[in-house]
Amino acid sequence: MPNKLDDQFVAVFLEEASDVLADWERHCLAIQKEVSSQSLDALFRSAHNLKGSARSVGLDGYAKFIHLAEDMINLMRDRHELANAEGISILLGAQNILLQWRQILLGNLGAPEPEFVDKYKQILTELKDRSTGAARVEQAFGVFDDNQTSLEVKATPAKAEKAKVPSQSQESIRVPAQKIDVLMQIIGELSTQQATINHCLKTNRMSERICTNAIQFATKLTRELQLQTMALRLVDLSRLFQRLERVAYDVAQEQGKNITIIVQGAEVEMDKSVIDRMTDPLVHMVRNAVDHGIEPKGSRPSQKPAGATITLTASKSASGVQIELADDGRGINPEKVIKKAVSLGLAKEGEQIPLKKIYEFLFAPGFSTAEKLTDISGRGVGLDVVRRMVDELEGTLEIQSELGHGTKFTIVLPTNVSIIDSLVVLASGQHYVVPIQEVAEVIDLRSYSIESQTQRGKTIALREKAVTICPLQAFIPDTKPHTSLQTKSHHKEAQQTVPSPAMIIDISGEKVGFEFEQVVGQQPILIRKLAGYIAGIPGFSGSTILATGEPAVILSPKVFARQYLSDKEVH
Amino acid sequence: MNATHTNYQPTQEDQDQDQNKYLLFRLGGELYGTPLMAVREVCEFQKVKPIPQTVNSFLGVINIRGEIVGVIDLRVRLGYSQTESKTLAMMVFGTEEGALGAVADSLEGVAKINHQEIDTKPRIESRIPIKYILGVGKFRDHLVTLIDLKEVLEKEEVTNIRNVTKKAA
Repeated sequence: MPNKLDDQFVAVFLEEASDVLADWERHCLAIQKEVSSQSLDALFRSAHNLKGSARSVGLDGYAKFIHLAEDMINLMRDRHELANAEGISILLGAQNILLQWRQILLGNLGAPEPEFVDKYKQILTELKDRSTGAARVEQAFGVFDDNQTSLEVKATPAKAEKAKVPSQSQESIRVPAQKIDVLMQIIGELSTQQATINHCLKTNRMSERICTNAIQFATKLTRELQLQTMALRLVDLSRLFQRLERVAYDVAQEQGKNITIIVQGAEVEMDKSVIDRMTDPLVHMVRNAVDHGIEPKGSRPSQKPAGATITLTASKSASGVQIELADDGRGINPEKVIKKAVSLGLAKEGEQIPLKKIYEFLFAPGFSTAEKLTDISGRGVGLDVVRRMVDELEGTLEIQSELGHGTKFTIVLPTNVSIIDSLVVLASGQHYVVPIQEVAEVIDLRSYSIESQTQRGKTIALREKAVTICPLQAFIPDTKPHTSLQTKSHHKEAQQTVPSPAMIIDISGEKVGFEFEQVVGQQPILIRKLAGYIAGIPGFSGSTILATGEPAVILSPKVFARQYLSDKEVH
Repeated sequence: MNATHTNYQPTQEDQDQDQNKYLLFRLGGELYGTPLMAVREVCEFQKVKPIPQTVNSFLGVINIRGEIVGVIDLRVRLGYSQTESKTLAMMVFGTEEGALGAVADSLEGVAKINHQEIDTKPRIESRIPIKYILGVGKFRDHLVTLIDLKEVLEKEEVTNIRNVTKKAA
């Protein structure tokens, strides 16, 4: 038995363990839906492999714990009736402990939390109870002798095996080797073209055809390189969906609700950073759906099927990836929402509010219509967090709901976030960048007649609908006089000959326009975060470097539009 | 200051030498110095892209080799006039919230000033909290006010750049 743990091997094992444990979870969820020898065998293989690897790097306690679970799976393989809801929840519990244990081994959590050790003991007892329940089979296998179990309880994992593995806080992505081969090939071609260009430069033949061809090729290859590199960040949604399924399952278990979870489109790919950032908001939404959406045990109307359904669907849409979360629960009661909105001062008593607006209230900070906060989704994080994250990612979020029939959330997220198509505009004498996704259209105000003019802006008729146009400048106030130290972008010259552009922003059907000085161009940009000291100004979502080398701020007109619309109510 | 990534191992003496080095710069007519080792880099002045809703002394951002770096005008911050000059220069410091540049009228160079020659309890009037003033030293018969610019930027500036009082629209 190796006493000295080789940190490096342990690190590799722990990395691998997270994958295997995810498989473990997936198999459990599959068995929970339908018991089959196939999935039980797969689960057994996962456990068995993990045990083997744990042993090989010297994590004997870890291996022994898996061994217990493995025995239980073995019992289930012989007697499928043991793989009932209770049995699965024990196996999922074991998986949870192994995950936490892994976390401790990674050195991220430090000392074991009492809760963890207690749970650990509890699961072992449960496993043991289960085995005595199946006494006959147990004897045949000769597992679960008292010695082993008590020994296991004593060995508090973290003390016994806390390996000094460097903490793995760095994000990592698994990439198919073939994707890297493609990159290598492109880079090879690119360097050939570059050599040609260099040669032409040295021999003063820059304007000759051979050189211009090479430059064209290089440009094409660079674009290709950009696309392929971005593809490296794309990961399918299976992990995320599995996690959400697990959350739904756990909450349903806790509350004794009978829920079927249907998952579709897990193969759709998205940028890993988008997935990572959306995980917590989506977990919250799924919790919400099970906790508040689905009727409590016993109060589900009899005309509905007894088992509730939650559907999680991902699909590719024109503007990115669309994720739908639908439940067939009680739906959103608009009256309750209005009552709460009035009590929070967001709406006036007796005011006529369109349904879309009513749902929008749900995203206000501190808004919760649940009369009593439950342990599950009443933790003070509300849908406002979801809204903020979706905004940050330049996505959209919509609610459809029918009282008594259920609720559907639709989120559309861009496939990748690091490079976006943008509109470069001139406003307040400076170049600003606007993500094209946020702009519904750009119009030339000269071809519209102004219907009315107020202090806040002018109203035009856009396809027979009144749209208010306000100056973009109002949202990017120049707080200080220009100094000669600062750049100044060119102003337009004659008033009449140049168009007078405005961008139209669509906020769930309501349109607002922002007038600016000039459209400078359209270009793909690489988003960079604003430095900490200037980050967090609403509507200023990032920065980038323009083709001219000049830095520019990325504006989020949707934030301005929402600001404008909410201000309008107050005035 | 640990150069473990190179083969060069600085001796204690070297480190002491570095400790004594100050980057000298001019604001108005006055000479200032800041510990050299805290300065990430020095660069020529380039035109700054203004950022709305920030304080007056924050000029905006510049592009340093693809990195977007904020710039503070030390002259505005410390109450000197913003005169045009061909010698304007920027000192870039790494702060916890990202790199930050500081504009001075001119850079004078690097000077070694021994600890013994620094008056650590000077009585001077300054807009900088006294705790960031390391002392007053002498360089070629001129007095140099030594300030810990990095600390000033990190502790005082970084949190105050956003102009919260002015609300958009």
